Amino acid sequence: MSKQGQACPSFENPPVIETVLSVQFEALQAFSTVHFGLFWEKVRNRFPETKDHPALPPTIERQQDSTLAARIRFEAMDSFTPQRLWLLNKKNTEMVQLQNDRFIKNWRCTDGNKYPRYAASIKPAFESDYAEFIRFVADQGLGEIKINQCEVTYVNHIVAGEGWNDLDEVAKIFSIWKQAEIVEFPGQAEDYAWRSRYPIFDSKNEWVGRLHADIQPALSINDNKPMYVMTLTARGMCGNDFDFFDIGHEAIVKSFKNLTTPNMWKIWKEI
Amino acid sequence: MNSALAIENWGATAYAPQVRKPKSRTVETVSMDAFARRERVAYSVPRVMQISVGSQEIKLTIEGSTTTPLWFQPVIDSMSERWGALAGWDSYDARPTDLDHAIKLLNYLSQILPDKAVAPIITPLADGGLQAEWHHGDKDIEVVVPFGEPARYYYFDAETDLEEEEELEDRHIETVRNHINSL
Repeated sequence: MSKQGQACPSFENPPVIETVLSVQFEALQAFSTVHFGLFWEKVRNRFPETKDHPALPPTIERQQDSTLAARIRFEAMDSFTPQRLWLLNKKNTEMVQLQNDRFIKNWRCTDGNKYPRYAASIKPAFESDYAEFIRFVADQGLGEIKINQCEVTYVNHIVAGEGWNDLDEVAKIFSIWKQAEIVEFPGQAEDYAWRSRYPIFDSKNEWVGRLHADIQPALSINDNKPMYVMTLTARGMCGNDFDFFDIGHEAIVKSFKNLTTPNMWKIWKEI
Repeated sequence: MNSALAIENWGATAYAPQVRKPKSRTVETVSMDAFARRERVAYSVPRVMQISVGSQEIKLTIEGSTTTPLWFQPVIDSMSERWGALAGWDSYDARPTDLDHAIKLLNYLSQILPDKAVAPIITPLADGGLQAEWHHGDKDIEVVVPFGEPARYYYFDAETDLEEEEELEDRHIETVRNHINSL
């Protein structure tokens, strides 16, 4: 998967319901619980709600990782569980997540708000909030931020009723499934799930990260409609700061198109 | 496993899972105790173990394998044998070996070392930190976690006279791994 070749696709009504941009950096040793509150004071007018969560473990994609390579992590038995803070806006459409080695920005689709586009809104909004965090870290003397990994995630809800109806009709949605002849055993599957990983290369064909594709059957809680949840996560590092975002975003949108069918592109109104 | 959990593990933490529920429990129901389970690795399911190092307990989470890497036990043994439990363990003014720094070193080693890497000798430092050392032929490698200072690595090849000493940042992990693979 490299930058060359296919043009970046775009859809008028993509099924994306959430985007995540995340930078992971070397842990700020001086960052303590009190800094969550101090940072919240800075952004409280835009993010008035908070929720506590356990911190995410550090994750770094490595080129030589095979599927079976062991990843091991050591922690003190009696150590304080590291925390992650969610800061949510009033409409619950935007969220900042903060921990001592990550800054994450989420956008979520709720009733009526359309996907605001990566270049026009998602990335600039991240840059603005991240700049606020950088200023805070400098003001508090918390040390230098050394980014070691970037992550872009797109969550898509592909809901029944548009181009397909039952969860067994995966071939209508995803190009990766070719409907085989149905035989008595095991018969027709009721639903399907899929996970795959792909290397990501930059324009010089250097390995810079990995794309994770995950497809799971689910039901909409609002109306019980069947859906497939397609999550595409690009994780890696190249250049300085968050240069990887653009490469990761490109890998996601091109892969999204190539993993789905022309039938669905029409429904999502390819531009 | 449900879809919300899957996203938590795979992505950077989406918060939309509350708008859906998992369609099927298939993934849970197939995890009955099948005989063949010993022949495969569920690489997405972490295992948590408790290990003792120098009379202290450490939590170990392992993903992607049912076994620990070959370097793991020799490193734990070496660390335990040389653990400086009390102040002055070196007959001078050494501080007791600090558990947090030991954990930091172990986490560096887990990032750097391939599963079948040559295990280093672990040496406590007088300031309470630790270092991992490899001395093979003309080559010396050290990964040093000093107390209260950034970790660093040292490499020396007497044959080529190549010497490196740097702060151990993520961009150096590959370099140190290559040095260790060259032993």
